[in-house]
Amino acid sequence: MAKSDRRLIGECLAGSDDAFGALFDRHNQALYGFARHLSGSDADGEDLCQSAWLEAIRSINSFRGRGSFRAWLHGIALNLHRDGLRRPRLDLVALDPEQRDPHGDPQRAAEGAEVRAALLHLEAEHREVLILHELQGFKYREIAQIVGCPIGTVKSRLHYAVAALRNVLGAERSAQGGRP
Amino acid sequence: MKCERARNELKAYLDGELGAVTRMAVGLHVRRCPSCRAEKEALQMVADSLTSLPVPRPSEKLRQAVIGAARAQRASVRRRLRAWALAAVVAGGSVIALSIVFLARPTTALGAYQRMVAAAAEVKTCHMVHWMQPPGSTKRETSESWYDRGKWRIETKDDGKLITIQVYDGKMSHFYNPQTNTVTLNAFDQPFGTPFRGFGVSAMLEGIGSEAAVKLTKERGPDGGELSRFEATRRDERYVFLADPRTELPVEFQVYGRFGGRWQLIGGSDRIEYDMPTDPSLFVLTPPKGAAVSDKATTDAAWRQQYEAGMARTKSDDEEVVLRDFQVTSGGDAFAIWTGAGKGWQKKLTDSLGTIYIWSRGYGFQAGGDPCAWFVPVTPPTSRAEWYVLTVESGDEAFSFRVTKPVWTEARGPVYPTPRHEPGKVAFITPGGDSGLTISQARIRAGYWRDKDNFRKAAQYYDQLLSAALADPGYNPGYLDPFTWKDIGSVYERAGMPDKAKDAYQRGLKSAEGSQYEEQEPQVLDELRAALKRLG
Repeated sequence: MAKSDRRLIGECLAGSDDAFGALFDRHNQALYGFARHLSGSDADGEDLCQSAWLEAIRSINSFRGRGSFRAWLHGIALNLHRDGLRRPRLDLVALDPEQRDPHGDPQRAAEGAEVRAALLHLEAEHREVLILHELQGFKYREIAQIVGCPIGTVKSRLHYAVAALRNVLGAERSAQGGRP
Repeated sequence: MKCERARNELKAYLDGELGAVTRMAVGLHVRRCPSCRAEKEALQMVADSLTSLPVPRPSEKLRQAVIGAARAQRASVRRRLRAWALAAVVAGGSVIALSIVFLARPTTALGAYQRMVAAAAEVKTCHMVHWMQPPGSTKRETSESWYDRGKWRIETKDDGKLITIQVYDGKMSHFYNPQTNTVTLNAFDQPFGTPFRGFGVSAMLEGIGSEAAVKLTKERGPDGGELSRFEATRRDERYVFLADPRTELPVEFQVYGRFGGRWQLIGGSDRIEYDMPTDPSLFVLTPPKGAAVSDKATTDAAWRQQYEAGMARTKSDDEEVVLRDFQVTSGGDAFAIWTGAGKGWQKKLTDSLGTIYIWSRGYGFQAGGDPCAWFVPVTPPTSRAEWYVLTVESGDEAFSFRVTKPVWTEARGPVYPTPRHEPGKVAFITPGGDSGLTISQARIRAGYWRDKDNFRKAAQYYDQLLSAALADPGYNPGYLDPFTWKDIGSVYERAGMPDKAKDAYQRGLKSAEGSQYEEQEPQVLDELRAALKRLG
């Protein structure tokens, strides 16, 4: 049976390299996804993700176990991002054919790029909750912990975030003359 | 509930983040209100556009950089720890140790609750029996579960009758359905669909505790020992846990729901046992003779391929439209998913037997952004049709598909019979509970006959609906709202059944009094009172 995060953290604190490797492998994919969507590009995503891991290593003994390790880790990445370490760079998310997956469905890839670009048009607080909920799969109460606001605020931010994303997508699609 | 309020709650409703009562109210509103339903579909499509984004893959370079940095960092921490340990011994380490113990054991109700959560996450074995008690009905056992070091077994039951068995042997989940004599294998490792931490009860406790107001009192257990009583209230749900203060583990719990301003006991578990010997054979599922065994990964892949390829093609306004899937259940219900136009268009189904189908516009399911429809036969056909024609039309534009080889399925429940959530997150929305299909169908059929002024026939279906809904422990009484009771009463009244009509009006009035309807929809109470006065 796989060891729990808490157990791995205990082993990490006791100095086990393997335990840290296991924690990294378990959470890095999700953390990178979060950093990538938040920052807007592959390179910035990797930088943010790496900074978040380094900060986690430095402060792992301050992890109090209230909430999950995964949520705590995302909180670190979000704070680093907010601190202005990384800001979204819109120019990197243009519909560049080179960036598309050569084996994927071009229609889907184009839609993906369109959605990613639309995300970057949202206000930061809306983008954060939307990524945490829709892409990272966090529950409202976990998002409240990560973002540092009451659950009611998470709920209303998500409500407005979806409406805003819909407006941005709708405006772009009608500008392209496509079917709604 | 009014549109404005419902729209504010729609996102949380889709995310499953509403309390029981608001969830019910929004669900009801959405089923009645076409514009809010359209809004809900639009919100779902936006959310789907995000979840269909490709998953970004981190590079191996990132791993090497972080793991290398971690190694260097820990080497320095180890050196510092050794220095601290030495200093602690010299400067009174016992003070440090004591303050850590004190900090780790807060004395507040929430702190004690969190300790109960932590204790439940660490249990080695556990056994519990769940029961439910629908308002106005008796207590019925609904499931029994066993847990042993990462392996688990859940048997769902209804009044002693086995409904399903699910066994997780540490590697694979085995799901057995005795009704269809099928076993489905699935390689997932999350009991109860929650992230793996100890037994399911801990996930439940954690979910409730973080958002609830927790009250802690003491009470005497049946054996005279003292028990900690936690009362966690979250919106319209209340959970009461009794925990043994020695082990800090919950030994009993009850769930209450607030209906019409009153708290009603709706379920619980009387005795949760821990650290008892479990029979290893519980965690092995041997398929019964003749059972069909399928692997979910294989069937999902095959279904995805077939879904993408489609079953039929046609043109609408020079654009190709593909019928992705068409399935007919053993009860004659037909499900269709196609690409192209959907919202606001009329959908019609005919077959070679001349069956009359009702397009159930009030209920629906979603498959990514593709339009879907569920057709209910007015009377279940006795044989299988040779062909079906699905027509989708709006104004002067229309297209149709002819299907000669639909997928026949034995599915009986209120679920679109296909792997869920792939590729377009197909999920069927139903009133819930095991009797969901019967209730939805009875409601749809009753509505059809009522609109045709055949009130006797409509009354027969309302009889069916009520007997199924009131007998099902999983059925949520909130779906029978005052408006539905009024409709049922008026059908009975016009069918010449005054006693049944009176009973329905009375039930409707009872459910409305003291509830949010009194404030938000007072006219329904007036109408119910007027109907009762009319009947004397």
